[in-house]
Amino acid sequence: MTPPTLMLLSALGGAIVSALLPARGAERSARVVALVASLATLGCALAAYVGFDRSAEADALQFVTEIAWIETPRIRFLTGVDGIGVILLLLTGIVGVACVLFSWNVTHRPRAFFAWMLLVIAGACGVFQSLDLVLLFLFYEAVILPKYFLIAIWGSKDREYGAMKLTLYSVAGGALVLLGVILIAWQKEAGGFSIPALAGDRLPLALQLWVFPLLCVGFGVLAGLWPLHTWAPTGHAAAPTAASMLLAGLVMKLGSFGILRVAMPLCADALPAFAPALAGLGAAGIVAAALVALSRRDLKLVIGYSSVAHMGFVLLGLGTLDRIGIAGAVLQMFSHGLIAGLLFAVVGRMLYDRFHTRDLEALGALGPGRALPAVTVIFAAAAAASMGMPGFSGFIAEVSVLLGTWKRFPWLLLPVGFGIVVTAAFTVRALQVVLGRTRPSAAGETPDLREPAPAPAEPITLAEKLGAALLLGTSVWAGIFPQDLLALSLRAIESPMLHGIVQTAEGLAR
Amino acid sequence: MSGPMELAALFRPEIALALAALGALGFGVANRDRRLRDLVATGIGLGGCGAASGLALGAGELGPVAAFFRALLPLLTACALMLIRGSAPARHRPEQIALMLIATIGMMVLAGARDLLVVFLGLETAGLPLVALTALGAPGKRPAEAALKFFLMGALASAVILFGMSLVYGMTGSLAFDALAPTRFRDPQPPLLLAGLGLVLVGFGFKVAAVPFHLWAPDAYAGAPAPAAAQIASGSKVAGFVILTRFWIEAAHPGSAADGAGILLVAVATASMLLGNLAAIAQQSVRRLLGYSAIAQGGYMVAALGAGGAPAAGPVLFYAVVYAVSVLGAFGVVARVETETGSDRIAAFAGLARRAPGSALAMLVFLTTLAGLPPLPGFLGKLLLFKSMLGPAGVASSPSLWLVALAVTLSAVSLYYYLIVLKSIFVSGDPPQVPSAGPPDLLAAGVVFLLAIVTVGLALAPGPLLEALLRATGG
Repeated sequence: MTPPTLMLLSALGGAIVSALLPARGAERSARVVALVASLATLGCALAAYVGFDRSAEADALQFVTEIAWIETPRIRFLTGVDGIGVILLLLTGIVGVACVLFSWNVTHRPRAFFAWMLLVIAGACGVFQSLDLVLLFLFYEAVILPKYFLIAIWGSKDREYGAMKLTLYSVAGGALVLLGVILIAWQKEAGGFSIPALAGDRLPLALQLWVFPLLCVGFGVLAGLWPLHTWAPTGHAAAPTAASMLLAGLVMKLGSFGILRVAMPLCADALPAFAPALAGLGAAGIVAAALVALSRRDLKLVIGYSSVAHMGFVLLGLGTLDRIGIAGAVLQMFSHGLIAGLLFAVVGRMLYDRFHTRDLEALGALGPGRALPAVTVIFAAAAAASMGMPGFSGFIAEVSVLLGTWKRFPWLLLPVGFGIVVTAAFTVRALQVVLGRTRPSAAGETPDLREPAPAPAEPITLAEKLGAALLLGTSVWAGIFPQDLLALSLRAIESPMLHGIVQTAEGLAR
Repeated sequence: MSGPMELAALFRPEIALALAALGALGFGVANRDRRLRDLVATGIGLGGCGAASGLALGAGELGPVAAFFRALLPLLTACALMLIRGSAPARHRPEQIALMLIATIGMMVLAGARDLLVVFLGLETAGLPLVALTALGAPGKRPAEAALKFFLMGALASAVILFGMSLVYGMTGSLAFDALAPTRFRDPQPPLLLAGLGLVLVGFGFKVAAVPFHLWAPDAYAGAPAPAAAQIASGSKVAGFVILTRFWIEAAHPGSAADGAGILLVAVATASMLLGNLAAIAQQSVRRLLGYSAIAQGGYMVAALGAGGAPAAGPVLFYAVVYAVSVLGAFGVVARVETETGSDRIAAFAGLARRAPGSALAMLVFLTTLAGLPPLPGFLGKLLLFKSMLGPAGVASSPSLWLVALAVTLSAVSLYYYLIVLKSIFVSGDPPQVPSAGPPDLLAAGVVFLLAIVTVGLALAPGPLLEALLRATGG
């Protein structure tokens, strides 16, 4: 059994065990089970990452598992990972462990909570390693109900609205993808649904021109494709901390991964027609979401919109059809999963659970930064990472995307640059209000610099520190040593499965 | 096979059911102790269903599709029967059981029929007992109104079918399926034959609750006693699809999608999908919700038959089986909630996840299957169903593309109303008044558990059933 399969099974097994635990002492036992299961998934992900053969003559797709499932139509349990899959599995493992650590204080129906959470993680594992189109879609859709329940049961303000909106958007996106899958199945049923095979033997161009928009917009809904992103801020804001982290860290990646793994290689010939639109929408997302984030007072909404802005970089990078641009998009997926997860953890777990408000000004008046010095450090570091400071993973990711953009759509750099400035602005504003300034000052009045006594708050627990250290540490590691991650992605982009993407673009450039 | 002995041999499963029905009735008359009477009648009914299923499994004379469904239908009836203990009304249990068995005989005749006259016999035998059962429902649920609608709609459909049959007979001189085909593709096509076929097909729509004969479904689902409603939703519907599919494939021989009869089916299906899905959104009663969603689900299947022709037969029958199993299970959970709270409104399901986690999980399985969400088997069923609407690969016709787009969209819409029920079960707190817990109905709980296992099993290993049905329909 390969590490990726084992990873899927340990998440699934953890979910089942957690659901079946006896009611007595469930608060403690459920989280221990979840921690063990998520550590097992992280272990498997690390095993896959370390064990992935990087030598020049190695296969692009490794850890391939093939189990016959249905004969007609030929649907197989066909899984395996390329460099991109390995990176995203690693992200899944890390975010999973961090989610459990930041959910250590969940006492309301804990068995169900951790079971649904592990199901989302299992679904993400499944998507990132599926090489069969139907199997991938199966895992992709299987995440919908667990995330609905996570938000609707354990969420905060407007949870039922946010959960239902997220679900309806996901289902609508899923319906578009399903239409695309049906069209592919209709044309290519005899050969089965192996994605590498379908990428090699593509549909007729006329059909690709139909299928690509269906798949790309369908997956794009989850990736926060502007203007279909509006589920993200409300969903993130309504969700409990762990679910916000899962949504931003993994679920949004499912969408962008779907575009990269299914929509682009299977419809590579149609890419020249649609890539500018994809890149343009990505850039529009960066600017629009950053501007909205600047105007929001609810801290979770601010981060929700910043999430959309960061995913805009992923879509922009994919839209460049350039090696560096796409590799940057992959790195940005990894980086955003870590940083957005950390930001939601700070806001949801460290601040909201203690001060019961997410309003910027109200929080600022409570002075959480002085009450909890650890929060100051973590939030400042996360904000720096989110702004794309060098030394963190976001920097190299965004630079790569911008390099790709420069080659293909130089004029797009102008709005994107503006978006980056706005991102820095709202991040600094949030940081300043929450941690530094004490209360807003009316115009013309001297700012009140006397420090009020900070509100009493329980100290940051060990679990939170560990979770934050895990996320921040990985981001710093990826920021300082990005070579391996970049090499893995570049290698995957050169593989036969994804090569069609850059090939068509190069044909276009000539 | 003309002699009475051969006929009797062919009808052994049906005879077993008839004997069981008589036994249940007779024991009910002879015995005064109600508990014992009900218990023995249930036992006789279950035994009869088991025997009929076993006998039908061995009888392959009528072809593989008929053999499979003649064996399946009594099993579905048996599952529905097991819901009887807790369901209202408590009176007339032996009679209810006997009526359910007789209806099953009609369904089995339908599944095996190869002549329109036999089809008609089967339709009436399957239909009238269900009307009587509906009328037996709990007084608060307006069973008389439901039964009357059911009866009148059925009578109208029968009249339409009979008229169609007379046209067909007039044009071809025969009512046997295999005698129809050669006449049908005479050039030019006789318009009266086409009209006859169309009338028969639309009449069959009554059985599967397709527009325009759909009005009875929500009322019957809401008014009938739980076991009868479950049977109407599962067995009766499956039988309807078997005969519709077989008649369409074996007698009507669909040609291209542009064929008049195909267009008629697609039109009926489109109206059913739209009406069923949109009306289901507004429902407060879970039974009525299932009733409207049944109209919609029937629409998907009829659409596949109309647009896809013969290759759609396998997917349609597979989906029909998946649908029947999960809707039967859903009725099992509804019956439980009704016994506990006396209501089938969505609000009555609140807190079920805390009260009865097993039932709640089972309902999650059933409703996600009905919604077609992966990984449950409804997804695979819908994938194949929708794909078959497109016809053979390479020949794109834009009407069928739009049909698939509509079906996928409405299927996404359907998740909304199923999710509303699930939300009540899992998200809402406890219902206002905590119901008095009676002794647990082990039989009903067992059958719900069994159906949930079957549904999950169909998700993990759909291969055998799917292969069998594809082979049986020559796909």
